[in-house]
Amino acid sequence: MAKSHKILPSISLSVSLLMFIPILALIYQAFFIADGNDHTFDNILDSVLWQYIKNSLLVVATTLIFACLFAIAPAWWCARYEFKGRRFLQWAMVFPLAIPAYVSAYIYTKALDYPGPVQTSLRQWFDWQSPNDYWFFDMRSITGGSLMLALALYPYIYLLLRYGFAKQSDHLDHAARLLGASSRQVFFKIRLAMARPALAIGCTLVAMEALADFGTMHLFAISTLTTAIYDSWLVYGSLSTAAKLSCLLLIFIVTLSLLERRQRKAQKQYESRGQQLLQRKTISAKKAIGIWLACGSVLLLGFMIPVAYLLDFTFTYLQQNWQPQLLQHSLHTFLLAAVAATICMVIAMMLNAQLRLRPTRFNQTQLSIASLGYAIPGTVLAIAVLIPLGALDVAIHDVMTWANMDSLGLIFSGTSVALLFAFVLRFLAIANGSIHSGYQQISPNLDLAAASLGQSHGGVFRFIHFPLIRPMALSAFLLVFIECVKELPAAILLRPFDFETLSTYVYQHASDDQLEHGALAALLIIIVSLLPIILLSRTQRMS
Amino acid sequence: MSQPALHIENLAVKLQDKSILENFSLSLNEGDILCLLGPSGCGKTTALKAIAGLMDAQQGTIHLFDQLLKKNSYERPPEKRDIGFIFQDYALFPHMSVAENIGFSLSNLSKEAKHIQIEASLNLVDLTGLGDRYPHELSGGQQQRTAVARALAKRPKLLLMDEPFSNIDSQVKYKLMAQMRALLKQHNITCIFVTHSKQEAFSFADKTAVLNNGQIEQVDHTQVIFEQPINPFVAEFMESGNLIEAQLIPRDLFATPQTLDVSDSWVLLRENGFALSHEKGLTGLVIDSLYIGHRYRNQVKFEAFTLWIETQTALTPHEHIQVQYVHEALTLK
Repeated sequence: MAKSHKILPSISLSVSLLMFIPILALIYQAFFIADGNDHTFDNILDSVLWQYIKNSLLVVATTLIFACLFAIAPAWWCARYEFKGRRFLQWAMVFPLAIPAYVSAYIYTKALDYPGPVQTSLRQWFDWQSPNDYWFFDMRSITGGSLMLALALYPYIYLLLRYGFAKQSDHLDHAARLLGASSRQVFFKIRLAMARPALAIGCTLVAMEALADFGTMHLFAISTLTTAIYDSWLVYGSLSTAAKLSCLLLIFIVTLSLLERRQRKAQKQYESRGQQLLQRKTISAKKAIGIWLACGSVLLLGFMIPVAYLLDFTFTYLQQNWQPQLLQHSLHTFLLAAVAATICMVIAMMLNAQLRLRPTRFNQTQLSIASLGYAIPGTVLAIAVLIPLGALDVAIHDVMTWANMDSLGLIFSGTSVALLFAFVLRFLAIANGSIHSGYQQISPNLDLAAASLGQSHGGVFRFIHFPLIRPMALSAFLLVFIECVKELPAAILLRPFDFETLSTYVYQHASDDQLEHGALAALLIIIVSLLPIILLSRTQRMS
Repeated sequence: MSQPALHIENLAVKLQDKSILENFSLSLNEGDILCLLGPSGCGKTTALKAIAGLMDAQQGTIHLFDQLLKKNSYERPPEKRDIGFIFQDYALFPHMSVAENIGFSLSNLSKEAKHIQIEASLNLVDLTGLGDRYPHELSGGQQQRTAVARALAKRPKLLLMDEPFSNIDSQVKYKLMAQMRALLKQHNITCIFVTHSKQEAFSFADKTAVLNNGQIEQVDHTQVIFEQPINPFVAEFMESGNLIEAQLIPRDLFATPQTLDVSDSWVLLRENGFALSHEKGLTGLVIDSLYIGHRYRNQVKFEAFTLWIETQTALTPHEHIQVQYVHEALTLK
């Protein structure tokens, strides 16, 4: 057993170091390496950088406004009131999370463009002849793009806020009433005031996602920091510029993520420790219909219309959709996602077991480092992964040339290894989170009991920890798998030549103005993404 | 006698056709501290909530001094009842500082007057200087004192407390109770508090009402409740002594002849009412002898029952002893 004492720490140390290398490489590349295209960054700095930053911030702000509009009232209604169909509605409000924003963006552009059904009908009704006769909302704008992002991202705010409201204690309500507050005052001074951290956490998550969005902005040709990173590498071929812009984007992300952490601490203090949780009030049928109408229209926009369009596309262009390469791309995607998810699960279990056996500061730091990736936008991460893997390939090439052997080509940066590395790096945090929460539910006394009954560390893990965290490990696998299937920007930047994941396949069709032919693939992504929502609602209902 | 501070008549609460509280009647004088004592689920908290107006009662009348709080279907809204409430979890507003919590009910005062009142309240409960802290930065006892200060800040006519001491370590609990009792007495505050621990009733209350299945079994001074319980439930709950079926007790247990109603009744024998004797009384076998501070509590087995008997000196297990009951036995039905 003494052997495993040394193996586990050294493996987990090397893993967390490996996870940290790309970030270091990114910073190194940004500040210390000058490549041939170094003037690219200076050009950008002199001309459009401020525009990029302004656009990015504008997208974030507009998305937040729309997302709050969609999320706050439904969260309160579903946490506070009891009405017919509340259980279903409560979960249905999360469905739009499954729709990639660029898919909605494509569909709404089609629907609302000049030749689209909405404007055509309007022209027929009002007898307008040309676009000069009337004003119409332009989807391909910051407002339009933000609206699309908000429709896909508002569930983050909704979920956190609903949970925040539900965790509030009824006693606070009573205490405030007895101290002379009216029910209106109770809502504003107690309920909403206490839900502020939950709202803030949701908003920072949405802000981070909006800042990192690639698909929608690129489709609408809106230049943001994220799309600029993509362009500097793929269009201008300047890795240094991409790295510099990535660092800039990271500053925003790190700020947001620090903000989020602070709010989470506050939220914990606001959660009720008493048993008297908020009781639902039964409401009249009239009010229930109002709630259903309001929530229903959000769902209509965020879920039903996109899905209806995709179904229509699929059946209208069945032949173009049903391609043999779709099967191949699906298999590739699922295989890659499964391998990445397995690796994440195993690493997360090792790191957490290590922390459990030796809860030192050092091991805690290792776990935190290994969880850094999730905050980093896919685009930035792709660039960060490219730098060390590219350098490794160059080094191998040099060695092979020196030894007079045939070059092996880009065995790391040009194959799915890069993609796999990026996936693991980005989604390890999810696996860590799941397994960590699983571990927290196991009383430390169980370890002591097993040890006192003669089990070594290995035995404790095998007979106690592993059986108990198995469900969490499974959910970790599933969550990482789904995120890998959905991930777009990292996949676009890192996929090998002629290799498509479902996401890049769908996005390719959307940017070629041919989503009609990729609708089936989009539906596949949506079905896979809906899985965790359905599973989660099941487990919640059981408990 | 002057008008009672609180007068409750025939209060009844039903939840989904299940009766939680029935025939609940109570009268308190100004400055009285009443303990509402009973096993869990007996309706104690419901009674408090109904008095505070946090829960609708189907029946009954409640007067607080000359104010009508409830009659038939009329319910005065909770914010207009002049009642302070201390919850089991204190229900401090976590997003407000201690001072803001205490000042919550003082919104009608000017800024300066409010500040003075808050400082006075902090002073009152020994929290001077802690006004800027947040609830999570306080110890359990400090949180409780904040809740007390908050409830008392608007000078309620009645204070209700729902198991206020259950979250406090037993080491500091009794000290806190003594401080709180002194505070209430000093300001002549009428108070009802709920607990399931008779020890808390002894240390805090003037009067006790024992509640069972939503009905008051007995209400009186705490000493009377303990020494003269009205029925076997109260005796058992208060642990007033040995409760034995009357027909099982041989007459030679008693030092003086007693008139016992044997049919279907119980006899209460105080644990400290026995004397050891050598020629008279009933013979029993000592099972165990425990030291309980200045005296011993012994388990003694007799032919038909087992008794707990207090003595000044330790008894030896496995020895036979002869005992007599030298007090007046209490018959309960």
